[in-house]
Amino acid sequence: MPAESLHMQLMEHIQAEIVALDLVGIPNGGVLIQKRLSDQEKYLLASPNNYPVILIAPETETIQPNGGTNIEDDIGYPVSVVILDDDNQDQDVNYDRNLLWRQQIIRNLHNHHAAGIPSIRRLTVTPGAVIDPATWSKAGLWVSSLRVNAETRNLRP
Amino acid sequence: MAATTPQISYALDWHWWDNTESVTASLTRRTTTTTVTISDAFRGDISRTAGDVLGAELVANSQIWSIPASLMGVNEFVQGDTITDADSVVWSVEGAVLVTLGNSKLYWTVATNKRKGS
Repeated sequence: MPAESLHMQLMEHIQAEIVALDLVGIPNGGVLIQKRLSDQEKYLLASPNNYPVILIAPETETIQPNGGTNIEDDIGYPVSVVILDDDNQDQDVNYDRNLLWRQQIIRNLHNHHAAGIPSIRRLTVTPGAVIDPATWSKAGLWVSSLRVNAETRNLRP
Repeated sequence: MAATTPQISYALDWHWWDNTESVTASLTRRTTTTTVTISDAFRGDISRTAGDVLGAELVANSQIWSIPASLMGVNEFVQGDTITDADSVVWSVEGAVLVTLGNSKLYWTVATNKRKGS
């Protein structure tokens, strides 16, 4: 079996967790792992209704120079999770639904283990903006972000 | 000495436009949505741009519309209104300018973005 990077395993875990939530209003194919978060149509669903989507992409690893033990290193593998929806500046449409998505994602990832990835000690979630106000006012889009960090302790080779 | 020439209205200059199309404007104010059918809207520049928002690349498919002011009647465009074109594509209003000449209200220049999934 080919080796798979921790970052990819983590993103696949996050994707599977979000899909398993059965979030009302978003098809399973709307939860996507990407290299670079993007809503270009060629990256989204084949269906004309590309929105809403939840996009997942890696961020730069974090390394504490003194983190770990004499023989192990602590390395963090962060992942961005971004929720995109088109509500056309409507103050009511999808409001509670999208907040609930965010809440469910946080509760199902924060302070959890990543099943099947033993080298990840713990997942933590750092909330980003609930909604980006400038994009909402300019383009009528709901853009909401979270950051999931995987704490790992790795035996030094 | 004040000018005595008759005042000319330019409000119907749009009659000279060609290649127009029929669109529908939906204007929401508080809890009421007013629908206005525009028989002669004129498509302007189209642009494709991308911006970075919270680390995500968001693509904008933008379209400028010219909408005769006389066909809008007393109605005006504001952000968040929509224009539905002849192909049923929905365009969300990002901003609008009413072009005037003296007392004449000529047309609205409306900057729009194609709604995602439209």
